Amino acid sequence: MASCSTLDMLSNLPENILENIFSRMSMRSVVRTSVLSTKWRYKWISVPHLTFNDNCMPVSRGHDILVKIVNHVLLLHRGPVVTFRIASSQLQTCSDIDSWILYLSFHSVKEFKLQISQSKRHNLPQCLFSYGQLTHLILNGCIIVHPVTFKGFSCLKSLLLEKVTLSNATLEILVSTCPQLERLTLIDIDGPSHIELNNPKLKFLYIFGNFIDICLKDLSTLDSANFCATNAAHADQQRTCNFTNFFGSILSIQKLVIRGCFLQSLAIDDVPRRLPFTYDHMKSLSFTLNEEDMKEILIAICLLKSSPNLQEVEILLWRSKESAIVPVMDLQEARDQMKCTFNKLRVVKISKFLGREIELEFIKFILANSPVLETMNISPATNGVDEVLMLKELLRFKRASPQAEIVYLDPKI
Amino acid sequence: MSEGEMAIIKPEVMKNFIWLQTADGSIQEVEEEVAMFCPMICREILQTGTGSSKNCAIALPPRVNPAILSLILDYCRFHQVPGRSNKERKSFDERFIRIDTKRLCELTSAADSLQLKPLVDLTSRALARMIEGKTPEEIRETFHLPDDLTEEEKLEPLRNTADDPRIRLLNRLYARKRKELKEKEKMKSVEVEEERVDERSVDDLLSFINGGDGGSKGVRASKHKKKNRRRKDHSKDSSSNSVNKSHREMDDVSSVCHNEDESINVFVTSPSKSVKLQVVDDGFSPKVEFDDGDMDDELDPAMKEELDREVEDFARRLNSDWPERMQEILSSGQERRLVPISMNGNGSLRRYTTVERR
Repeated sequence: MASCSTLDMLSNLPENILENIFSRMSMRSVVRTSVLSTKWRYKWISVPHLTFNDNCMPVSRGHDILVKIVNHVLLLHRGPVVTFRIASSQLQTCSDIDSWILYLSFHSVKEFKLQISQSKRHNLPQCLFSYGQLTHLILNGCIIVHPVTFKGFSCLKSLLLEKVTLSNATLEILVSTCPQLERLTLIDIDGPSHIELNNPKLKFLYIFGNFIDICLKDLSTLDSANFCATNAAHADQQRTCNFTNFFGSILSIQKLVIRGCFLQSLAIDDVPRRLPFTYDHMKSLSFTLNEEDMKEILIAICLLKSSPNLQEVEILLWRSKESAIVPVMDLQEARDQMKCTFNKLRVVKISKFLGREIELEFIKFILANSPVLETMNISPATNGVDEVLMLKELLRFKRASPQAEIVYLDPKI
Repeated sequence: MSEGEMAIIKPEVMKNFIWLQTADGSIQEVEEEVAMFCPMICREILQTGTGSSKNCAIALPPRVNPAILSLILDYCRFHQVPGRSNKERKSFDERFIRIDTKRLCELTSAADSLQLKPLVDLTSRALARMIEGKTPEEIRETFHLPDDLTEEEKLEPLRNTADDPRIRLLNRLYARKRKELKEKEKMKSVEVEEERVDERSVDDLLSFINGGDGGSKGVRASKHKKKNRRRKDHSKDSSSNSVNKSHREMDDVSSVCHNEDESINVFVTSPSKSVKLQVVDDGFSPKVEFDDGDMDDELDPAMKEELDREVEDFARRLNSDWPERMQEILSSGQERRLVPISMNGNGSLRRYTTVERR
């Protein structure tokens, strides 16, 4: 016994080191240390980061066991809980979740994540809104109703809502009363048709789902934005923010990604030929383009022209599948607009390339005006491409950059 | 080489040296830039000016012994060179931590006292890797931990001698956990072998923690709450009498039941919780109810009723057929070694003490 105790240095390590070690282990291993020896019985109970996910929870045992385990752990836990994350594929809506949220409201939680995968969405209790020190909030599969007395999360830096149901008013108050907000992610949220953002510190924005009327006001710190609309806007859908205002509020953006029907939904009104500003910081632009919609084409050209310092461009081409006949389009207007230089453009990627006239115009335009271009990757559509004809055209295009390489990727079968 | 050449070369090669003294009195000299890599040493040099000569060597914290110090200096010597690539540093780190666990723990401890955070993180990562995913037996073997839990693995309700609210509370916890353990055992019979080894142990752990030592756990939890409240209650005089009285009673019971005093200090740092308890306390009658009231705050009424029922049930059974109950419970815990119990009044308590005093 004596020799054993001099070899055992681990048990006598100070608290802060043990906490460091525990923070690098899964919840399950942390709790299992309680069987190691008498000294280890309660070393784990003050670990401040509690994470329950499929890695450390027995998936096959289902929801009830998961709830039991979380109850046990919370019952034994002592001290502040800095992080609480529960994201198990087994979790269903139940009243225990409300007990946990209430318990945690006394423990100055800074990071809270709740993910309900199965069953219907969980009605969040209002005590969640009393988490005064919250900095990161992730909610998935919940119904959110804010209390009337809610004054905002004054420390909230990151908010992620996925598959939640909430009203316009709740979303607005959640977003507008968080002055420290730096990251906002909304994925498939049900309810709001309109959102207004004017958070002074917002750096990252990601919106995915049905088209929402987004109104941006002077987001001068926004670095990266990602918009994806899975459905187009209805023609009569309320729009408070027009195209120019929308794009004019994100002037310091560095990376912009637009997917789905977003561009189309924005362009319901008339689109100016030129934007009255430039994105001097924009390094990377990526968008889907419906090559049969003249309006979208003009918007795309407009965006490209307003980004003189662009370094990377990605265009994902898109066309309606039904039309076997290529629509005849007057491209003269587009050609007239294609006049600018990309002094810093190095990499271009074009996907679902079919070889249509408008696509070739784009490539011609970029090749002729990018003096430092290094690579142009062209990835063809899976079928319908007349490769030889198209490559013959590509060969002829003038290139402003002597180093430019056109890489034609093999079609994915 | 001739003497003249040597004399010319020497000044260029000459570096500044720092003198360090470990707790056992031995003094070493180290190149300055290497020593300055440690924030603690750096601060000592800049603030107090020690270390420049053998007489005023910097006194290192007691956790740093000469062998470990040389390891740490090797680490510093490698990493303080600015030109190294990340890949080089990573491979050095990987080789560096391949030492026996005893020295690894000493290294962590020493690095922490010298505030060398990168090394603390590196060693903690290594230790975490060694613990993660291993069975308790493997971990005990790796780290030479004593396997001294076998007797306490049994669920052991304390005799309800003093009718102390704390003992009632922990008995309540025992009853609950024993019930759940029984349910689990029913479920176990339909499961696959592998799952049994793996998942059940987690549940068992939790239940035996709650049940097996839930006694001292519950006791200790209440004690720490009382301690917190006492500290907070300097100005406020709410329920001070009952708090003091219970605290003294607590001392008698708990001093017998647990050994880890230093862990208590951790709990003092949860101000929000203790403040909350304070608030709750004011509403409850101080003598008997408040302790149960604390725990019940976080349970909904349905659960509370169930627990109350279980407590009564348990108390009844405890008073009537103690020895038979014990044997029944013991036989239901499969892998646990059965230990004969001495069935006198303080039997269980005494066994606790002999375990602790080892």
